[in-house]
Amino acid sequence: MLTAKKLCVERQGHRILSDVSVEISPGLVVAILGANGAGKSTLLHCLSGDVSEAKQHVFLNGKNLDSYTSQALAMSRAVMPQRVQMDFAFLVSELVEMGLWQIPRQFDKQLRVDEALALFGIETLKQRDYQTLSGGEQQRVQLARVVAQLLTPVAQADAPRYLLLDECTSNLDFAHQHQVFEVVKKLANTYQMGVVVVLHDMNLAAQYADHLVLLKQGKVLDQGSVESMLIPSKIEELYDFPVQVLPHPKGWPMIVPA
Amino acid sequence: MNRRYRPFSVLSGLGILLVVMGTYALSIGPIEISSFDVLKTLFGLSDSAQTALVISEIRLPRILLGMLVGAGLGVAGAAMQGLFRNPLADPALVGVSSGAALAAVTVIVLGHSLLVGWVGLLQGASVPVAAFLGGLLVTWIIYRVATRNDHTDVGLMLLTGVAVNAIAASATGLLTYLATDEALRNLTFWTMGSISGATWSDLTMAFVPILAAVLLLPYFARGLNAFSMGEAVSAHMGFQVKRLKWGVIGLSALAVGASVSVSGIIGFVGLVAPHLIRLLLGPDHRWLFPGSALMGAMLVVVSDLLARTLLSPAEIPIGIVMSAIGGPFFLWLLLQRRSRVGL
Repeated sequence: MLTAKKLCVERQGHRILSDVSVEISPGLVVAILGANGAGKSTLLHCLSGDVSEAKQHVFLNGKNLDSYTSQALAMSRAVMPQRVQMDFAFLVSELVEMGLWQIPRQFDKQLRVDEALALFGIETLKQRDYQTLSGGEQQRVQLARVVAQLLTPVAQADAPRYLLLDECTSNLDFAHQHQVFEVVKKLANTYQMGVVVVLHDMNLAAQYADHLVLLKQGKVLDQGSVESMLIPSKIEELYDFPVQVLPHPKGWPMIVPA
Repeated sequence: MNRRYRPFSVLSGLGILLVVMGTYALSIGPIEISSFDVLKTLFGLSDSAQTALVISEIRLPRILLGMLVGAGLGVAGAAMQGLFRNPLADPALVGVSSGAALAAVTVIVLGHSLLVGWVGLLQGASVPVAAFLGGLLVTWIIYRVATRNDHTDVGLMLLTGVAVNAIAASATGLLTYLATDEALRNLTFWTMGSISGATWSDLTMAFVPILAAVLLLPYFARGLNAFSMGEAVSAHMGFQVKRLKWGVIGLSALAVGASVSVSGIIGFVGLVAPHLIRLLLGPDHRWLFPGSALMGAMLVVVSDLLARTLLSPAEIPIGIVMSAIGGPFFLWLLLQRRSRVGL
């Protein structure tokens, strides 16, 4: 379990998060929804352990984030930021392998790298210079990198692991967005990973998330199952924008502007 | 660009080339000494006392100092480029070298008056220690000014360098102008660099700090690889970012400080050497550090050879030769990168 208890974060006198409590269970996909500037990314940073004053209020598998060494933390959770800028000509395989430095030598790192690349269908990019890839390809390489970090056998034997993804499909086309979320869902199920995603696309959340957290102006507006959260009154309150909710033929709610 | 030669072959090739080049450089000078005689002298088999003296007291310390300084500037350049996450950083371009030079000049000029306590405390090490602190301060300032929100702005980095270079140049010039000290009459030593008066004591002074930087920087290589994706990403991978940053800043300032205090400001070595290695071996810092040390050593030995032969018997300051190579190289890098977004 990854939990945040009563998180409060201030920056230059502004409250960015107040009294935010969330729980991420292994095996589930939790989506954080909210308007621009609602504090979604800050919440993700707090859960990652990037915000020092918040560390006290975040617990990973029952232990306070403060009590983890950075190396132990890296084996239990991986984080994909919104943007990664890279100015050196590393190959895709080198870049994905960087997250595996802490695993013992006897494990085949190349095997892990190949496995992670295959998950996202980018085995063919292995020997390419990362800088020359398209935005969408780079995003899938970054996904492979963070996933590879958690596929390590050492971690497998240990407690549950968590994947924190900040707008991980923003550069992907329609089909790839869905392919990525299929993989994420599969990882949550087969590896019992807890997954947190920050999302703008409510329809992706509706289809793939197990639990939704609605964040408005730094506060949790509400949280719960997809069915109970994605109703017109809540969404309109969340974004201050009128919407209609239609049923998708396969059952989940589908959100369109009113 | 699918480059990448085997690191081991390239590094050993560079090592051999460096020894050959050094031996050849030992044979060149006002007094003709054949390469064979150079080798005989090096192995203590020389039959001429004069040859032995020229080699051991003039040419050998000079060439070894060139190698040492080149290695130091090479790894310092690679380290700073890793720290600033950009291949355009160079100790001289961003002002670290001139900061170190200013500190060194300050101690030399004011060592008998204002800074008498400092000199008394550190004795012979007072100049290199001051150069180290000057370099450290400038690296820290530039890092603070140019890095915001986990992103180093290259424009800001280079402009900060322009400002620091201007301040340091004017202060160094002023101090040199005021100085009565013999050692300081020659302003060109500090601003254009020179290894012409190299002595064994220069060598011993610079040896330990530069060796430390060359040997210890690879310890941060994996961390710097990850750091190229940003501070946050490398922290998420489990690297201790604070230790990494301070380790790299400290060790590169150590190498630059030691180099500058024995040879003045020699620019562009830290820019050109790592870049050539990246073309041969890729950007992995595990190979980049030893490669840049060897390539930097080679660059300084070759440009020193040019400096003392091009207009012989007159000698050009080595910094002029290095700038003549490095300036166009820098321009070429800029043009190459212009096609991409930003710098």
